[in-house]
Amino acid sequence: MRSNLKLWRYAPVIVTLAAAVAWAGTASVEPVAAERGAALDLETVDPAEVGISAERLERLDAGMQRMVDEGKLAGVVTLLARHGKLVFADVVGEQNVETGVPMTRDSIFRIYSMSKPITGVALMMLYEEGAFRLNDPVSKYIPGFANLKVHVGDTAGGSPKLEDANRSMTMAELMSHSGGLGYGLGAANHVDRLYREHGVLNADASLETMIDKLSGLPLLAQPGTRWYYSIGVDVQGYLVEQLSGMPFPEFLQERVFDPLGMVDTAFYVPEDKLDRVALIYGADENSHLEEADMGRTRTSMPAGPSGGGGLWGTADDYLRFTQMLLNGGELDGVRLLAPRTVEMMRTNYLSAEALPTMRAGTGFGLDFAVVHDPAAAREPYATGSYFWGGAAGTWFWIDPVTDLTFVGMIQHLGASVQEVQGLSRNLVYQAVVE
Amino acid sequence: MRSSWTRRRAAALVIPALAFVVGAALVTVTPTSTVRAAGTDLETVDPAEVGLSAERLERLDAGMQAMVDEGKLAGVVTLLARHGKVAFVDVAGVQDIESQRPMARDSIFRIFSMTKPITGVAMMMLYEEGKWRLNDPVSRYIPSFAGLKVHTGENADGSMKLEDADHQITMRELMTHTAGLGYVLNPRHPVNQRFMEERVLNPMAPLQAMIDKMANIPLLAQPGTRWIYSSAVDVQGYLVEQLSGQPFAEFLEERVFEPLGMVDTAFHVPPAKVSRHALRHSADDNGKLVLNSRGDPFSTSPSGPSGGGGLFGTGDDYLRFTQMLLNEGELDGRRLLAPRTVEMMRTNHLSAEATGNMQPGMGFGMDFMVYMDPAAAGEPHAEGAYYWLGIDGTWFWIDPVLDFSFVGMIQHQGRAQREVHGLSRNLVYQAIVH
Repeated sequence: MRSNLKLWRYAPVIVTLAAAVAWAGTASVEPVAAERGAALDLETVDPAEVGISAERLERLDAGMQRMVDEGKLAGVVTLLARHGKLVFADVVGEQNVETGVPMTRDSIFRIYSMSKPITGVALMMLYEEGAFRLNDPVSKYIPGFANLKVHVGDTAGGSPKLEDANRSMTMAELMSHSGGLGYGLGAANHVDRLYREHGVLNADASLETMIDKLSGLPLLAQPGTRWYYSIGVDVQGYLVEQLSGMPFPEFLQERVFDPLGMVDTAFYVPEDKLDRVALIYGADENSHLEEADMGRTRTSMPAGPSGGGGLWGTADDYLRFTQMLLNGGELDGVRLLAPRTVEMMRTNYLSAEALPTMRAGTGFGLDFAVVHDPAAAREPYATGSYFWGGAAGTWFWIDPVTDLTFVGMIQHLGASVQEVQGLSRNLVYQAVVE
Repeated sequence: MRSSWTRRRAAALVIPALAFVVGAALVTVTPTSTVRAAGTDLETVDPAEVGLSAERLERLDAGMQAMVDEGKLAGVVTLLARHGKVAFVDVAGVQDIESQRPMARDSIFRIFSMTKPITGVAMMMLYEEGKWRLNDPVSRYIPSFAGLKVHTGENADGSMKLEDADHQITMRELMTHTAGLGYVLNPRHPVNQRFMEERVLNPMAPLQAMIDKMANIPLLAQPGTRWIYSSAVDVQGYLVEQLSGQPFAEFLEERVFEPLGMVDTAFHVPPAKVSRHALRHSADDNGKLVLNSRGDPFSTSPSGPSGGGGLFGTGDDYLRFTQMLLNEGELDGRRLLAPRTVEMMRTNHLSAEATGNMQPGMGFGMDFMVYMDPAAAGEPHAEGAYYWLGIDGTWFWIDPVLDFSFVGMIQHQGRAQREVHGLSRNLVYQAIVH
């Protein structure tokens, strides 16, 4: 273990019993900054109690530290829970490399697309109330989606060729990115370009505005034929409002964040928490860390809260969310979903035609990627593990076979994202010994 | 919660201990008016004892009640049994909107095609006695079926273009609607027109007359190539007579209904029970619920009892039948079938070619539809769940993975059927929490 000052100051590894600490470099428990009620779930235990080798966990700790020491990341927070207990919490590096403000366990991160599974859970809570069925056409709830066109290529003259959609996309397709919607991020295709031109993704406009714009734009594939990462989860946020009769952020607050004790997760960061926000970095041409321009942190509720990417939160908050899923829908006695509903969400919903358009060994459930063939995916996951990540590098996975869940928080754009995520998978699985 | 008089009088959610009643809407036990022998199966228990959430079951109760309150259905009886115990019983609405006679737990419904699985069980009891084998040609037992032709189109003069069957239809094909036999549900097809014109399915004529007429009508497709919902189960009823040497209705009474305690299931409704008969309704052009009665039921057993659709019965009776299947062939110590036989009945028996024209994710066993891929089917069922339904809206399913079965009884023609069926699936699965 390295003995540099930074590690000693900023990288507490959570091990409840000092007696169980087998190695010199490990610091003792640091309590979660956010106050939580007496909890049955996610209590901190000695790794050996849940089949994890403390000695091997050192490699995970060292691996995260090395990413910072080598200047690849400004800071990292990682958490690992198994059998419902927290066994590993690691905090390394800084929130802000210029000012030297240290990363802390309760640092706040923009989780971007890790908003998606949360929106999916909200929608499935409404499913459980009978508000919709998975085979329902989305147009049943969004009439403007009834007669969408599909962009099928360009004419010899270079103008876009459109045909009618064979049918309306279904709710299951909307929730598995196979409805044919585009996204409007950087992709160079015609439909994504149209989304950008029309400013479809705009947190300063209402969700109705987004839906109105989408209703006039073509799909980029026939429904059900292709997995294409999409604006579909922003549409789901709109549907949560329509089906519940409650503003989307209010639904999440009352039905998801409050019950789960996710005290720092929201579509904005209030002024009094701004000093906990970790800055987003990229690498400059000399591979040095450089702050990325991702816009300022919102300090008030946006007009169009993005179900696909709008949330900020902490690692501990997100771990409570993933543990709820790993528990089959409940945490600390509060039930959000039935076990079968969670099982459905982590089951592949892509058609035989659409499945090959997803990465190898991986299918897509309802707002989660699902690993059905870990060997083909070249990952150590057990079959049936599910995961997602955010655009600024945050990542998580849930492994229902090994009964563990991992959450990693960084704020970074670039090659280090893939590196730290891959490294974490190697180093987590090798530490699970029973 | 609603407080309509029908609700207070008719809706009973079974919870033995008042201490467990969470909401005002939950009424205490209504005992079955039908007297049954003391049994170990299908005793009423508190939902929590069998892994169901009483609080979440309220949604099912409210959902069924809403279908009545919104004027979509006249009345509904629903029953849910898990781990062999009745955990939910709900009675809502009326048997008849004109007389306002309340729906009761022992209301009698025409179950139409829910007759088919019962006929199938009777057939499989004879299979277990060695009376027939799956690969036998049907002509071994019905010689006049040896020369059946296949309809391939129309000649210029309007006569049928025919070809020889490439093999004689087999018993397996007869049990899985893949023999190519006609029916009366798609009257536009020339083969089905013959069924209509010649009154092939006529309960006033003996089953032998049906067979004699069918022997001269061609098949709709080459045997084994397509799943076509058919008159095959009426033929099975005839075969029960031939193979057992006993009238079909008598076989069912002695070998199925009496052993299972299905005291109200028969091909007729005796005058003493006719006040319990729920009448069929439908929606008029303005969507208003109207009586659309089929008239009085037979008061004595008809001469041509229909194995495909002739039975009347109660929710409780049918639940005894589904619980027998869930118990792998026995109920209260009375065994009708061996476990392996029930397993065969709920296994897809269609050829790859015939499976290809089923709905996605679906297969067909012997007189049951089977969910092979619930995600592709867009349903919350566990893999291997099986079901069927009746044309006036009665429905049931059996889920051997989650170990429960559900029976729903309505008498309705129109869209509300599909709505209540789908709603029940959402609301049942979300209530299973352990």
